[in-house]
Amino acid sequence: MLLLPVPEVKNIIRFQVSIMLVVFLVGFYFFVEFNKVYLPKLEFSENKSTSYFKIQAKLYEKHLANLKGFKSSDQRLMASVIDAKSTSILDEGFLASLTRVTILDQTFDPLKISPEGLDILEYADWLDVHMVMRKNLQLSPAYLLGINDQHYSWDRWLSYMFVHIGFYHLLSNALFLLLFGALIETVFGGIVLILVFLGSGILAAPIYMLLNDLNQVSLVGASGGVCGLIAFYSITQFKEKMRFFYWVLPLENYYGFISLSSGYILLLWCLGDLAGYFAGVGFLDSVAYGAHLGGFLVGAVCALGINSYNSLINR
Amino acid sequence: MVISHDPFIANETMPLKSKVSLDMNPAPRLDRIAANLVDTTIVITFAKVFAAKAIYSLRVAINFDLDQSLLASAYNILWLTFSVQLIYMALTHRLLGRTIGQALFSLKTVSLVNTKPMDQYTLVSRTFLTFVSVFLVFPILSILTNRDGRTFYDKIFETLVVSDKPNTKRTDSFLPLDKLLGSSLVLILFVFLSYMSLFFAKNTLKFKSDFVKNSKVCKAITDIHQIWTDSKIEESRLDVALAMYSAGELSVECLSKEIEFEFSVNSNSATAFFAKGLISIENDTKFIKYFKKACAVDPNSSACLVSSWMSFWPNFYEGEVQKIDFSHHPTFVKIWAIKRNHQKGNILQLAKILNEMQVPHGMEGFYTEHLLRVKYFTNDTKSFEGVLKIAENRNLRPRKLSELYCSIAVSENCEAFAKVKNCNSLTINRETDSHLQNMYYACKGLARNIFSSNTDFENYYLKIAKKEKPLLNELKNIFTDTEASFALRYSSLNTFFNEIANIDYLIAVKQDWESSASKDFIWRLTGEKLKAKFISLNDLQQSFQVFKKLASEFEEVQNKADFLDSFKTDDRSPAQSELNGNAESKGP
Repeated sequence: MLLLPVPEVKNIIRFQVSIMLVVFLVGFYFFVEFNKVYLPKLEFSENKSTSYFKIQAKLYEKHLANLKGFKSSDQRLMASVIDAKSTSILDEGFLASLTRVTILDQTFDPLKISPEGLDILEYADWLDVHMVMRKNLQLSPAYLLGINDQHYSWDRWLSYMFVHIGFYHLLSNALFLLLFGALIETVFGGIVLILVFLGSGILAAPIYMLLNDLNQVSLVGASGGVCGLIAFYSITQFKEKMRFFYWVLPLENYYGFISLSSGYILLLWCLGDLAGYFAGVGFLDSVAYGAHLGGFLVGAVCALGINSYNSLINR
Repeated sequence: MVISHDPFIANETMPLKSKVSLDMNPAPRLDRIAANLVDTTIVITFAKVFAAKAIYSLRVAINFDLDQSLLASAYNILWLTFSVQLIYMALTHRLLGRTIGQALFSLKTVSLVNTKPMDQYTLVSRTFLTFVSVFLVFPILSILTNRDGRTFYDKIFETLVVSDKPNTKRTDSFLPLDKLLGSSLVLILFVFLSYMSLFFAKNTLKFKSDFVKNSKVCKAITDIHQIWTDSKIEESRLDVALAMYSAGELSVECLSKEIEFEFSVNSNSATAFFAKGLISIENDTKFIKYFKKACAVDPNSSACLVSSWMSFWPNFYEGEVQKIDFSHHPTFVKIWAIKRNHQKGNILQLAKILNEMQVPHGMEGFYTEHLLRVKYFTNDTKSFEGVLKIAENRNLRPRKLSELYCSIAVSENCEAFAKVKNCNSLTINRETDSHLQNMYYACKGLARNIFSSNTDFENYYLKIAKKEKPLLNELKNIFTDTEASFALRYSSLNTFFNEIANIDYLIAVKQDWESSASKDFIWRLTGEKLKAKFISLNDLQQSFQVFKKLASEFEEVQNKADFLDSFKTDDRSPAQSELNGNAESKGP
């Protein structure tokens, strides 16, 4: 089942700022995509999925054993698990996440770890691939502009918004930015739209840092700002009806448009993000629910401010 | 509104058929499905929030392989979801008299007994059955396939979903199926879904089913293990090792963790480590480690010998594992890389490496094999400079020399071969020079191994075997020779084994194995047969008997062969071999 807000916007000139924002997002994405520099990928020998990850796990286990303290709760969790199950690290999902973490773990130096107990040929293979992957990830736009445990200064709070990890990531954010940007711009004007979008996007970063432990996986994407727009519109226009597209079955009379209160959007999004946030396992997640919740919070505060300002003026 | 009603009194007074004939408007099937989907979406949306912590635990359990919290988390998610669904149903029926999905499509669930909404007891029980019936899929299947569009819980609780719409067409069946066919379809789908669920549960949730432990193979393995634990004889321990090897991963499932632990740790012997290596050889890189340990515990054991053969690892053969000079490894890495990536133009570099580092005795075949592989991809005749240098500079034992000859012969480079032997005698003078003939076969066997993608070489060995079919004596000579059997072992050409079996040679050899000198080859062959037939308990036990005898004599035969080989060399006496063997096994 699908329930998507599709507002009716007739005059395109009235939401040119949101179009400009979307164009900027898309343009920035393609600019980064065409200019990024990666090292050539290395071919790994047979049984990549097993031997690679097992070597990875074994070396990272040694690395963690040498570390006195861990930086994040994720690493602590992994360390405890590795301690408990050191002889049978077999799960692919766990090891895939382990790869993601170790590649960006700056303290993990594979050259300083003795490959004792490993097949030296496999280790050599692994070393080549690992170093190239690590270098590639450090050259990636997400690492250079996003927020992670190495880089989280205030300038990153702005830059992370304009980096997207893939085309579908960009598409979803741009779509909702266009939808709600147009609505807000029609009612409040372009300046309010930009202020709310940038404000909630920027402030979503520190809220994310409060809610989550930062790890080596970078936070990127404009979804914090978009969530701010959604919350802002839903609360300021709570009593207004809004057009939704519903899709239940691919048959006539089972899809179409329905008019519902704008508050339902906030309810739907918030429920999903709350569930995702509480069920999230740090580095295993590909969605930053904490940033979404931060965006909602900032957008809601902006909306309440505007509402009280309006009521003051009306009084 | 909820109306309390006692269904038992109504049942007595009103037969069911008369109730169905009441003037009701049963809901269209698609409306019911759509309403079901809407309700499910709403329930899942809320349930995800309430069950978020349980979902977190489940994800941690799945990703971090913690068996204990896995089932508990799944159980928590289930009952939390059910609770949310129950609250949702109660609330919506209290407020609207129907669910939100039903309200959207103007539907309503009524009791057939009195054509009024359900009472609360029916509501709770019906919700529970809805939840139990795979939550979504099975109700939809029931709606689609039942003639009257009623699910099984509708029938149990005598309810009917009706439509408020006045002009709804009443369709008898959504699918053009009669009752029997429809029921069969539902049954088949249900069985399929159940099977898939079990499959998912077994593989993803890592259930250990009892039926694995009760299988014939498991029984055989545990029996043999029991014999070992009772007798503590080294030979029966080897039986366990071989049995576990044959069963592969299944053996890990069969033997409980305690037994495995005792087997691998407490019995600190070469065989145990060999067994562990065998078990993990299929999908584990650690098998090398176990083989190393097998040789470290007892370098002279048969387990170490077999380990070294299984591992294809340099210096293992001599039992010098603890003294491995790791300065060799960069060279091996380079060779490995060239072999894997088929990089053209690296042959001279490789030859240079081989010339610069003194190749340890026993590793000539290894080097030449890789040289040939490179030659195949680069078509560079200079690749044999390194090989020839190895051949000229040292006195090799016959077996190793034959490997070298093989490599050169396969290259069909007569000039290169002429420096060592007369090239023409290789192909023409077969009848007089049986040794060269044997090597010729051995070469082609190696060729199968090296140029596995080359169809010209692939069936060559087989063709030769067919040509020589009448010459049983000649074949016997070939296969009793150590070099040929060694090459055969490399070749692992199963079709060839079968062809040989057709001319009854192998059967004869198997029956008369004690008088044959090619124990090595038979050992290999029996291993293949055992692996193929291990599902049959009798075959397994018979094979173990053969294995037991062969394994006990394997070491002895191997030593004899080496001893005899050492006599054939011109410069190295057995005494010299003993003195110099260990020192020569290491490189610079």
